Amino acid sequence: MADRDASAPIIIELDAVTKRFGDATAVDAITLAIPRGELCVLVGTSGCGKSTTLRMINRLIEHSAGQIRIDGQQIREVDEQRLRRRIGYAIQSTGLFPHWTVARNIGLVPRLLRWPAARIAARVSELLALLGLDEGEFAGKYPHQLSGGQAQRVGVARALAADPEILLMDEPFGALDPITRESLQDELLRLQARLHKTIVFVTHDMDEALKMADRIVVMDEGRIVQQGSAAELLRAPANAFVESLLGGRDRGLKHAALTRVAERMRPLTDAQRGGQALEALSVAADDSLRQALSLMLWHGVDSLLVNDAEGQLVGSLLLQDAVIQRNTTP
Amino acid sequence: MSGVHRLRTPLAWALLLVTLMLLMPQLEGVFRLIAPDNRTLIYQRDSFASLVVNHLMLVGVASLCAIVVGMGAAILVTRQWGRDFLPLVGQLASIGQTFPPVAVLALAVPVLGFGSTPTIVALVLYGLLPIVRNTLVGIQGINPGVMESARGMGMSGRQILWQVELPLARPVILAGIRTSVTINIATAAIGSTIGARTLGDPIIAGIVNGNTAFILQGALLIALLALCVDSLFERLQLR
Repeated sequence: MADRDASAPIIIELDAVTKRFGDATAVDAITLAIPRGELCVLVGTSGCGKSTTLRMINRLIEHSAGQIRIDGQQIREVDEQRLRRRIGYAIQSTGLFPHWTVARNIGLVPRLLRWPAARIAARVSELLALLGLDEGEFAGKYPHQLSGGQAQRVGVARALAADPEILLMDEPFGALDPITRESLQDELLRLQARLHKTIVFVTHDMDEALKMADRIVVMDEGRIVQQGSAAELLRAPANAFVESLLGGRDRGLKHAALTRVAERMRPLTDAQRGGQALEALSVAADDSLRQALSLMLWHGVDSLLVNDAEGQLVGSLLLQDAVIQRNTTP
Repeated sequence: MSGVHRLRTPLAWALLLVTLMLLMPQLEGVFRLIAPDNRTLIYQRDSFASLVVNHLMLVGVASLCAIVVGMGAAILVTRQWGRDFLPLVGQLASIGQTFPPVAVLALAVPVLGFGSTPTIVALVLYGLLPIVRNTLVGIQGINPGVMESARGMGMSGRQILWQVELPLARPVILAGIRTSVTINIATAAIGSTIGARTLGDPIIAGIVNGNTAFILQGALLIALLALCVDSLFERLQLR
């Protein structure tokens, strides 16, 4: 999770935005300010208005009342096609054009923006490399020849093609198997650490939200119920609905999944340093507390050794420290 | 080379058609076996070649009109602003198909006179439905995710139509045109009843004079023409 920079300027502003479909109100006067470079996750059950909110930002759905501003400018005042070409868009079904190759799909927005062919080709190669797709193997393939995970990578690459500042993602990993989903989540976080895009990400999966978000916005029945960092939500859910989304009695484990072992371990004294940890009963300092607790449960032990990234022994984790935070931070 | 290879079937039918068209008089012996009582065995009022060309022209003009009107209407009613007319267009095309071409001819003659024009009108009406229906199905059958991302990426309506909708609907639209054209090659023969020159001429003459040989000659050429054009479309669809 990237650190939140409170001083970053607001790039997307929703001001009392409402969307009505006939008599039904899908989104009810929500107000939201998203700073530049933030990964903001809209989470809620289906029909809560999260996708509608997302799609109002690039005007796929026009809002009925209120104001949406990007960089201070009302989006109603911008030509909708020009607006969308400035905003990356990735969706669950990928929406790749089946009759175009991977390379042509990725180059779509740059082509719409009339970049010269050489620049488009260079950008496509760059993006394939960025998303870990071998150009020789994938550039000429058609979408039906890709696995779900590969297709979604291409979808993300296409959304990033014209280097937009804002990326809208509507349950992009929702249709993938758990292992592929996890690796793509990690990939997106890795990309985000490099690119610092402003990302609005919609999901119904609270675990995904907890993992990805700088800020989580919980929506229910068209309204924002609570917003805050993952830790803030876990510490103080605003109501029973948020609590149930957070998994009720699983909350402790979800919170543990957000805590790094390094925060709870006892560092070694200098004299103890330098040894090699035993394979089975050790965790990495960057692993989550949840993983450490799982190991303890599995092996029936109440302490684990902690390694750093190089495999050097750096400390130990005791069950009592894992369960109850000591006042002295390591 | 591969182009010729792919066109082998349509070329074979075309060759058979041209051969039969030019060498029909040489087959007099064969037709004598079929209709031994008739004095004239080969239809002679017109050359078969000119009938084939005229028949094709009628069908060609009518199909072109049907394609322009049919695809045009289907595209219009699948636009955001044309959706209200979608049921209407679907129904009109169905009515065109259910109306027997003979009835259209009978109704058209008092207005348009005899000859090619009323025939073309009847063929256009009759050929519209498969084209309209398939264009609608082809466009509406496109994965909604593809359409959404096309809009979400900032493509204009025209770009979406030409770069996404028509290419993706192409096989289905072509299948509709193929059906329409093939049906009309057979249907065009009835134009002969109101004075259009088509391959129906020998058939009508055969019926009037009780000459089975004439009927066979017209029917054979129409069948070959239809097979030839149909196989041509088949290749086009596979491309």
